[in-house]
Amino acid sequence: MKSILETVDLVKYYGDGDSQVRAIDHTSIAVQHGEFVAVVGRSGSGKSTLLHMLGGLDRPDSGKVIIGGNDIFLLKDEQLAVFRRRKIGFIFQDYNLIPALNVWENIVLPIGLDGKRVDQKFVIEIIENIGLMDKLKALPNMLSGGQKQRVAIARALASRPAIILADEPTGNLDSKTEMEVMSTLKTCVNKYGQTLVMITHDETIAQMADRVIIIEDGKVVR
Amino acid sequence: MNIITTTALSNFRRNKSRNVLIGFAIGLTALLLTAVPTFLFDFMSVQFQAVGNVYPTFHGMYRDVGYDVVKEMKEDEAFEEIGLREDPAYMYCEGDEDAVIPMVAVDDAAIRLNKQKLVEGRFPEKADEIAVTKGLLEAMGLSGEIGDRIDVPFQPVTNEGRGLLQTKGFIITGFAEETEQSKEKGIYAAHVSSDFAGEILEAQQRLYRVYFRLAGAQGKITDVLEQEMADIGESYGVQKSNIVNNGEYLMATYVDPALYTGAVLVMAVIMIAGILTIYSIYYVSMLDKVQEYGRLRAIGATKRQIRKLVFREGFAVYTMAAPAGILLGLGIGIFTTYLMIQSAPGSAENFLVEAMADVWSKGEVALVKWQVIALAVAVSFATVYLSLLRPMQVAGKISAIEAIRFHNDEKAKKKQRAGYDEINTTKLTVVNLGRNKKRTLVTIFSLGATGILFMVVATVISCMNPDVMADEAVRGDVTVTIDSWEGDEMHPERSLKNIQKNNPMTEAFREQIASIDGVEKIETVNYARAETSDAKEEDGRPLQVGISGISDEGMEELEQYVTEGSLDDPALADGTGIIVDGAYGRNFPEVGHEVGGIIHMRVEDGEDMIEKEFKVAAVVNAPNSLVGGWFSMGNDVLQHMYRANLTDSFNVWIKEDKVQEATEEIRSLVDTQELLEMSTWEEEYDSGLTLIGYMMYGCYGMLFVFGLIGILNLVNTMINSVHVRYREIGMMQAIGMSGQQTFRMLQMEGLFYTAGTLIMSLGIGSIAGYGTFLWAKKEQIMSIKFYHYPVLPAVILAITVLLVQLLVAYLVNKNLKKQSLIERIRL
Repeated sequence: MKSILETVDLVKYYGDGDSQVRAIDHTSIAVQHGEFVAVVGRSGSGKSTLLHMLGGLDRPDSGKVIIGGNDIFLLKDEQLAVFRRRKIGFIFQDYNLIPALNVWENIVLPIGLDGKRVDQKFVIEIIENIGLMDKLKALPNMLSGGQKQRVAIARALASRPAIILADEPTGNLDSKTEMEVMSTLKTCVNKYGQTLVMITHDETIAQMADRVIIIEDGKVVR
Repeated sequence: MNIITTTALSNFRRNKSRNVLIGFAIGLTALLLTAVPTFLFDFMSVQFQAVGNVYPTFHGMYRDVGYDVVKEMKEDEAFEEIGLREDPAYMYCEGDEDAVIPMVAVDDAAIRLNKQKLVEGRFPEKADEIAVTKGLLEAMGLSGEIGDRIDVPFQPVTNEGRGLLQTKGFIITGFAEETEQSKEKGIYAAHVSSDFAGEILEAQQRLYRVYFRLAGAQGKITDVLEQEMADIGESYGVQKSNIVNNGEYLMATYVDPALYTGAVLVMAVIMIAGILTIYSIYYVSMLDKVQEYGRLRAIGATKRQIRKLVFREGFAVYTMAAPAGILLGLGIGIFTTYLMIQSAPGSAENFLVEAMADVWSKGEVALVKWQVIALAVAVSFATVYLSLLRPMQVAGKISAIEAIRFHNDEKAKKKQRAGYDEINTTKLTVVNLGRNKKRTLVTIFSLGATGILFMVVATVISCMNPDVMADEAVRGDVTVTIDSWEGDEMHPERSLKNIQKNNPMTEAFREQIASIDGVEKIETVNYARAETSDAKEEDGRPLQVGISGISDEGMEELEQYVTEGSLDDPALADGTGIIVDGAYGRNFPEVGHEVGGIIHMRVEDGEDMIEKEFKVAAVVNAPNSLVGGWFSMGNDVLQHMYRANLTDSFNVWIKEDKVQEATEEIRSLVDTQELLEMSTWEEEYDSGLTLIGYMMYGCYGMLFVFGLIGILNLVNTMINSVHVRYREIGMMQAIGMSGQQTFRMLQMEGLFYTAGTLIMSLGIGSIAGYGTFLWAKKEQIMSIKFYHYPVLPAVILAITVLLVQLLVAYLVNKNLKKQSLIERIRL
């Protein structure tokens, strides 16, 4: 089966000399289409940096990130931004919703930025799935943590990206909400045939994944 | 250094970009606060020094003060200086018994206070010494040089009048200057010593004129000084008629209290602008310092310490920025004073202007005044302190919990918004601007207010026209006119009725001017003084006015300015009608002045005041040079009513290519006549041009600084609105907003400010400008008559605002790019 997402000998160091931190040290991984991969590692192991590289938010010192057969770092910043909004959906630990926009606007923002028309039916379907139909006009500060994260998930799904990258999406949630959010996410990803790469250090969450990648000191150990 | 100060200083370094902005605001405020009073006080002190150099410097004089009273006065601390003059005797001129030649004894102080000088020699000191003028010797039939002895017949002045004729030998010690006028009118005086007075008069018989300066007069206004002089005089039993004010000097040193009020007002405006700017910079940037202060609170800093921290950081900026601003302000203030003195318009006070230039070049006045610097330091410090008060309070109130929870979220005022179905960059911009409506409006309003002010000033300046100003002042090329003034007890000969008795504007003089090469035409203008009981002066007396004569040609020209009634009204031909200028009605709206109304007047004809009633035949709105004042009628009709010769001025037209030479010839003629003065169209044009220039530089300079403060405000608002949203913008970029879209969004936000500012400035500003024009035209300010839209300033304003906004958007975007996307999301 062909990989949808692949890194080739990826390297990212911060600082130099004694204080050099090897955030990513010659890492090569491959993720298949439709796969749910959990990336696990201790704090400071380099997992977030890896995710940023996968999403094209940061550029590596060397190595490649290949998505759908294309090396994304051959793209210029502007092209990369366009690539990002079409191919990748991000979910962050602290939601990162735009406080001035309501739930609906936050969700359709990436579509708007791409200059596309909103497929209302599809977006409403997603919102029904996450169970926030009664909160469409609410501003983010009116939502609970779990609700905010569900909005973030909907935002990531709305533009039908091939890949969802999630950085500890349940890190700020209590365990009950955590499970709710996780099942929502997993259901959606399955339903729309998307690939999910998720960072977590929660063993239970990792258990839900198809595959677990463990990172230590910037290297894949398993 | 304690930990608070250390932290404050490290914050000072860390928040560099914000502190640079605040530094600019503080520096500008300090600059303005220094420049304005420096200019004001420097200009005044140079002027006072010049006045002191030119005019006799006594404040007033008491006449007929007895010997004992003088002794008392000399002890009185109410006086700063006292100079004595006595006229112990009059010379007796054989053959001309009417001649009045006082023998005057003055002491050193009186010489100094009167700025008396001899052409050669010295003032007499001994009883048998005398200083005279050449004309006096001639009139007395005497001759002699310095050191020569002359025998002078004189009558001593006693309490009973002039005493018996005596003769005494005097040695000439000096010669005094002599005016043409005194020679012409046979008015002379000789200087003798007070020893001579003592020789011929008993102490009890000696009567003095006491010239004095009041102590502590500096800064007092004229009315107060006059009252004090009257009160002190009264306490010594000096009769009211024997108290004389040195009007010229008092007038020249008069400080209009409105000037101080104005200065205080301007400084208050600067202070408020400063406070608003500095405060708003702090206010906006406080948002992202919440966490920092909260953390400090969490590790145990007290509210007081946090307040101190904020204050010391602000104070550090103040100590850097204020001295630079004050120094620059001093320089600008002094330079402006210099410009004003150097390029003052030529006018009747020309000699004062020259004296001021002289004072400047000799460096007689200290231009850097510690009081002004102290004031600037204090007021700018107060400005900074007041702007810091609220941020200090806010910072002090931040709790540890708040800081830990703080996520840059908007305060939960609104629960939901209707929102858009689809979102794009334009809609994002609208949403962003709407987030902090107050801040958006304040920024637009402060920028717009400056713009409106700019357009109003630009309109007024563009409507000012030196041609119109000159036409308003002078008809033809040169006007020669009688130089009279009223109510001067020291110079009663300068009143119009006294000049008219022997009117120098004779037919022969007119012929003399007419014969000058290049003179094409001369128009005679008559003038009579009058008063009307219809309106009152401020002190309740009937309003002092005049009636001007208009030539036949002038009458034809006047037709175009008639707003009511007709110049063909038969009442104007028989002397029962009068033409009224619209300005009269505007100044005294409560008085009837419409056509057909009656004006009650008492007109001055020589020594007589004659009651007259005039019917208003026409109301006009004409240049002053044509109608002369509020009331006018035909030249001949006016003269027919009077016995006195009313000829008051000649308006002279000169061939274009001869203007310069002919003007000079007329000037040399006028210079020989002490009672005449002249003004030329050319001079009025130049002084109009200079005046416009002053106003332009002064106003635009001020507006420039206000504009700068406004721009600072814009920069601050935009930088902070981005700064607060750093993470948010990073987020949007993470989910796919391109750099170009970011830039477009920021630019659109800026364009909104630009559009708001321009709509306010060009829209409201143009309307307000037109309103100001109408007002200025009605009030006849700066001879404004025609509307002229300030196209160039408007275009410059629009371009400047646009460029500044583009620049700001560019800088903000560049600033944004400095941090990587990752750094911003992690923030």
